[in-house]
Amino acid sequence: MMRCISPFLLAALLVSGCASNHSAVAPASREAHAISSLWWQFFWVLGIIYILVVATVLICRFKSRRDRANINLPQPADSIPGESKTHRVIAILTGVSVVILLGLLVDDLFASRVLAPKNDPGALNLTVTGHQWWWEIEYGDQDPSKVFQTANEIHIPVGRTISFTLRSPDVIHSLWVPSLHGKKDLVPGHPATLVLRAEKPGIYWGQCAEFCGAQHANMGLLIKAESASDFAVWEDAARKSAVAPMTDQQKHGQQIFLNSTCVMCHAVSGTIAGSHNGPELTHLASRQTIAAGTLPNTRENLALWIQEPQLVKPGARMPGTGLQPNDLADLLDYLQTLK
Amino acid sequence: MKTENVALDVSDLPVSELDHRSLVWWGNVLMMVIETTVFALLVASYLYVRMNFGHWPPPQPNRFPPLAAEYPSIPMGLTTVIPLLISLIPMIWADRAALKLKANAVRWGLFLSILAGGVIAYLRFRELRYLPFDWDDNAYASIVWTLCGMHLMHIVVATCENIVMFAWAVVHSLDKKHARDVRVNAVYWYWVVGIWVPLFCIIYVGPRI
Amino acid sequence: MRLVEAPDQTRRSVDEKNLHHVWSRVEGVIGWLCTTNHKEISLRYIITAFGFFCAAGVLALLMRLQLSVPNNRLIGPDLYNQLFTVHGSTMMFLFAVPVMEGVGLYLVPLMIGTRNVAFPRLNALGYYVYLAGGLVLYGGLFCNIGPDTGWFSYVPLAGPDFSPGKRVDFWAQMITFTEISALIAGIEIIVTVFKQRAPGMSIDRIPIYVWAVLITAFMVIFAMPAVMLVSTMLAMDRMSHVATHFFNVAEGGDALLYQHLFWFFGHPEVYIIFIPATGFVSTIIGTFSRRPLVGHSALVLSLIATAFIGFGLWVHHMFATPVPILGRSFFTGASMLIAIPSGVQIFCWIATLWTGKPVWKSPLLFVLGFFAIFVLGGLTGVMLASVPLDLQVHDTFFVVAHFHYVLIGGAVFPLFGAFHYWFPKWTGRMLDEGIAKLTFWLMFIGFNLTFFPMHQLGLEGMPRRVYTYHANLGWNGLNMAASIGAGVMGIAVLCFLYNVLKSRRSGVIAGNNPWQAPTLEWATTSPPQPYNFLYQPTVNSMHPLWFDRPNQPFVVGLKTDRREVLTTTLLHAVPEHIHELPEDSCWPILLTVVISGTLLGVIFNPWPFVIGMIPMYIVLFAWFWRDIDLKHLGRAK
Repeated sequence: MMRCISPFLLAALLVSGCASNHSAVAPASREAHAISSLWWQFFWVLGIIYILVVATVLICRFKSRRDRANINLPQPADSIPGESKTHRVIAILTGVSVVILLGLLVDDLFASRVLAPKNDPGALNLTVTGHQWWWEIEYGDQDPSKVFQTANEIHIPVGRTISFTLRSPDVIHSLWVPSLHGKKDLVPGHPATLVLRAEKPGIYWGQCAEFCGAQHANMGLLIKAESASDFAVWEDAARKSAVAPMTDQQKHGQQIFLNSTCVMCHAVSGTIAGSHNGPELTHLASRQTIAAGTLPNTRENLALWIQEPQLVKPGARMPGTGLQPNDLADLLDYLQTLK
Repeated sequence: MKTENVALDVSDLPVSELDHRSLVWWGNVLMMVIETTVFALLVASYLYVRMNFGHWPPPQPNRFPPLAAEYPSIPMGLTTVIPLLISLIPMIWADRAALKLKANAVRWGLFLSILAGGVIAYLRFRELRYLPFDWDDNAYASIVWTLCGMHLMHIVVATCENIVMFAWAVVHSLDKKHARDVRVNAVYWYWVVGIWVPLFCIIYVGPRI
Repeated sequence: MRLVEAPDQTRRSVDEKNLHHVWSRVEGVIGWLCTTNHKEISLRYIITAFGFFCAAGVLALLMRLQLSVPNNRLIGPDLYNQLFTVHGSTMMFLFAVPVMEGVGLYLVPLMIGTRNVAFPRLNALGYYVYLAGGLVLYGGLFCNIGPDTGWFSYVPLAGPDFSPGKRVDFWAQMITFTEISALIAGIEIIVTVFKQRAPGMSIDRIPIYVWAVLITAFMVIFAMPAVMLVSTMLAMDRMSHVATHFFNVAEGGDALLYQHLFWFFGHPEVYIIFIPATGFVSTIIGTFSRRPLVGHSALVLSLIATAFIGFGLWVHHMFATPVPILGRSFFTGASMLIAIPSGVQIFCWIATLWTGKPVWKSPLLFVLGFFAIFVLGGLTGVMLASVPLDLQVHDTFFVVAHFHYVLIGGAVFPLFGAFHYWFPKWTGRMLDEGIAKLTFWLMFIGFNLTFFPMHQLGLEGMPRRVYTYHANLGWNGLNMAASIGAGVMGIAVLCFLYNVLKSRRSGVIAGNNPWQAPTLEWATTSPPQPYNFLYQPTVNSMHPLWFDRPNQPFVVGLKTDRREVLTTTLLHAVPEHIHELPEDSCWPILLTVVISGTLLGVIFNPWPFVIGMIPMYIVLFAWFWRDIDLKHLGRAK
């Protein structure tokens, strides 16, 4: 949920703007660091140039303050003294500009090399499929029985190369988690690859960054980078099917889930619900947010999202369910067992 | 205004020009540049889309029987190319006659050009029907139909312009302004013929290479 | 062709009376609709474009209102998506390019010393078609079927599968209208500048503004066809009985093909907007520095270089898509390279101010604003040229900040400078200097308050085109600041409007040359007569009103009982022949009605395209055949 940003970080954010979990200048991966360093180099070089240009213009403004009532008659360019010196100055400045740009270009090439996809046999392969308006993630493995899916929330181990394969079956989306890397578009017909290696554990916020329709604004994404051991624990749990419901309310809730329109789109492994039109829900209760980062994952928000999805995300493909309060309560009980 | 006591008298300059010195000539050239750019972009799209296909031209699963791949027929294509090249003759005749302000020759040249244009338009319709695909089969088909269709539009427009010129030449005699217009349209026709030659090669010959 | 004695006062009065009779338009509504006077048509372009500017500004204010606080429920996603689409489309297609064309079509014939553009009726057609296109777009918006897929309307989102209905088709047809108009304006400028310059105005004496507009016109010729093609391809994909597959991935079409074709137009488009503005900056700096521009040739070559290189940059809009890495490096290089000619221009301008004796009137103040704002935008552009940096800030508010800095700083500020500079020529009265200064400061402060925070927002993760955002992402304060700034900009525009309306009535009378400027438009009355100059001038230098000798001859011998202009050769402007221009005509507006009906019909069905050819042919036939004599329809002046 959004309260992942601790109060300390929030205060620091207000002060510096740099200690955030969703900022290109608060990098947490090898690639984002390279980009962030490049950013600051460009910033200082170009910033100084800007200040010099503006200062020169202001000097022109203030070095001749008097408004002339009698406007002098101009002279042809070739009879103005010092004109060739002026030309020389401009030529030198142009030369200096070329050198500076070349320097920036070289800088850029070095940073690009860090971002180039590398062939790392130990990489973790994830396939991200963008949909209107949620993220489907599949964790690949050499052993097909170990492949599993999740939605809207990605866990990755720190210090290991992650290779994302990006696809889209509908419109163009763009995967962007600023603290971890630049963005990459998910273009129908053109699968893409994004490679990154997180270096700092944390929860990082991202959003779809290519306009994809009505709810583009609410297509958020969380990436949690954790230690290798924590990740292994999570991975094992994620591979498991859903636990069977225990109490009567939970069982009744499961019945409601399986007998209503929910199963048309949502899958829960271990039950007969197997549709992949919408996000799979096997471990819904472990996620920080629902509706692709739109709401924190609480009971009340789940209730709102299920009953009135068009209030939360107008235009979303999820129909309202019109459940009675008792049924809704039982359904929520069931959903909250899906850890 | 400045006080001068000298002026430049231009009253003896000609009042109309029949070649590149006229304004309409330049307007026509620019229009042809614009249209050439459109065709060039379509050709670029054709080559770009080619990267999405394993076989080129793509197979035709919508036909019965389905075709694995069939090249557009070169003889069919030539039924338009050759008449186009032949149609240059009456157009050049009208062009030269207009330069010399020979009204009768212009009338005949235009008449034959209009006939040629009509025949070529009909042949182009036939050519399109003989293509082994419809415009809505796939991306390749859409682009090829658009190339042929756009060119057909130019044939029709140029012929319609010739009709206007012909009507004027019949009703009135040929003055310098309208002779210039005939010449400008002739240049347009040369372009219509000329642009089709590379397009023909790309559509009909290219896939076989 | 020979030198004769200048006409005496009697002769001049007779000529003046005849020219008035021949060049004035017929009175009444019909005369107004059928005019072919380039100045009247240009003022219509400018006023219409300004109207669209205000409309798009209102849309922007609504957007900023919605974004001022997080999770705002003022405007829902559907309306918001229409707002930003129509805002962007209006600014790019209905304001920026037409206003630059309009000002160019007004000034170029005057600056080169001729009486009208090369094809006066075509010019009128260009304006009416532009107006129709704008009305089509806003008609859609007001019926709540405005386009909602962004001003560049990417596929597959804008394709038939994901944007059902007619919204995107309104957008695609608006493009057809405005591109026809832009191509017409481009043709006019090129042919007029090539063939109708004053005798003696050889290539090296063409004013820098005319160069800028000429180069822009060439860019238009090569760039506009791309957008016309791609919007037509999109429309054909979407049309139910046509259903082509240019962009349908399932049938071998390509979503990236759309982007390549669009941006092949899209990048030159921004230079089409910017280069005329550099013409404004050059002119204003030259006049008010009281000296010729430093490095005139360098400035012209920089413009030409910018135009060429500008066609080789387009993939930098696509760095985040899966295009080959090597290709991206080429476009990084080209995108950085284009900073060099822009830099050369900046150095020349500053050198002119430094070595001149500047007079700080309001037009020059707006040019100062241009420096402060455009240079910042240009430098963030260098950042965007780098692929790694672009991958972070592409499609975020950083890019929104960048392009507003370069477009508002690089085009709108010079444009306002140009308004203040040429308003006296267009209307005969000066704008109020005090209100002008207030306008400038409100605009400068409002602009920076609106757009500077957006750099930070982009770096902090805020993507573009979002109708709302979460409260706990740290974006609240910056968004509120931006929204307040937008309000201040709105007030600035109102200030300017007040200045215009007030000064039209009671501004100081300007006279021919209130700024003591060097170019030919200042050699005639303010506003100019319908025939521009009593006698067409000849020139002997690039700054005729500063450096020509006092007895520079002017042109006589043209008939004054019909509309005649002199044409000259391309390179050396030697008089060549006399060209007769047509009278005012009703065909342009009639043709516009036919074209509009056809294109509007095509939104709904493909058949109007074929059926519409018939009335189009009839009107064009009549156009070429003869003009209806309006003087017998209306009362002659």
